[in-house]
Amino acid sequence: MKFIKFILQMLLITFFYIIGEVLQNIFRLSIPGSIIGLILLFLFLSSKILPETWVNQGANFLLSLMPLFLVPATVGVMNYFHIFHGKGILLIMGIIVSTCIVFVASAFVCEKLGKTTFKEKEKHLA
Amino acid sequence: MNTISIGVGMFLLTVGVFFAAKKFAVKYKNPILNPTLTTTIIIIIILVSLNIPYETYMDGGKWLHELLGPTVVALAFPLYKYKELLLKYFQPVLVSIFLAVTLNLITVYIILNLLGYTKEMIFTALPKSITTAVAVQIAGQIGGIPSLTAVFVMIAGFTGAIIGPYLLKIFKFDHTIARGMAFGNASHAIGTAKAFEDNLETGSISSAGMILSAILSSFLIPFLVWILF
Repeated sequence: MKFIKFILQMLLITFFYIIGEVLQNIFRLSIPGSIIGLILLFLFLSSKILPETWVNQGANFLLSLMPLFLVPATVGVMNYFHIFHGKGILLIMGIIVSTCIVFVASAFVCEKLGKTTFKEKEKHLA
Repeated sequence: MNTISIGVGMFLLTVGVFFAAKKFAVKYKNPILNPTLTTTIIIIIILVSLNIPYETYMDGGKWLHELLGPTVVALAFPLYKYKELLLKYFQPVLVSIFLAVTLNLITVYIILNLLGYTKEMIFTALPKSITTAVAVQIAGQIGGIPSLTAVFVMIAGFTGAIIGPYLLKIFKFDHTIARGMAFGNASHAIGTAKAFEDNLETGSISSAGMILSAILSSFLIPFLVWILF
């Protein structure tokens, strides 16, 4: 019984994915169908149309295996090794630098805004 | 051997190597031992030494790859779970995500342009700070090379997980939201795993940052490509 519930949950999540893909095709959207499915599922959960107990186990199972599902895509780099020769080192450095900038900026604004938000809240309470 | 049995073989190989790699990663807690990375390296070594082309590998690999779509949809569940936490920190979270996504696009665009890379390469690198599952789909959509995007995503992930903690220390960022958003926005799932080492709240905020920046990027990247090229 538990197993059937599990399968049904995954089918329901896959159903949202298919709806997302169909909508993307019909309206020729540039956003991936999976993201449309994500937004739809989020809206259904938030509005309580769909109880979370209908997807929780299936979602957690899929998410726990996400690193496995990524392997076939990453193995594909074997066809592109030549890109990392010579100038490729600079490309990798560039990716690292860009990531560090995004990392520091993300934290910086939160550190600034976070503090004012808390102070405002404290004032409000006082 | 026919396609089906090669496919089944490649499928079983991937699953087998992955669970061995995962066991190894749990035993020795080091971000370098990321199971996706170690599995990828082992499988490439096997394929190259047996002279098996990637296309043959994908006869079985595609069954796992197809599950990425539903897995992206499943991210709606944790996002729903963290809704309260996000509403609590609504303003900093929103500003941080907008800033992260735009800075990612601008810096990648400028750096690759300076290095003289082609349009196709820039398309491939633009989604590098978002979770692989979404990144490869965006790359495919805008005409990049998804497999290479997956590698850039990995580099971005390890940058955050390995260099990130030093950056937090140097700049003295000690706020839970600040630390969580940094890991999630810049380094997606690999960074999020690191954020959970802080505590549950940092990890949850990082997950939310990862999901929200992926959603925003999937709107902004195709739009930017449409405007610039």
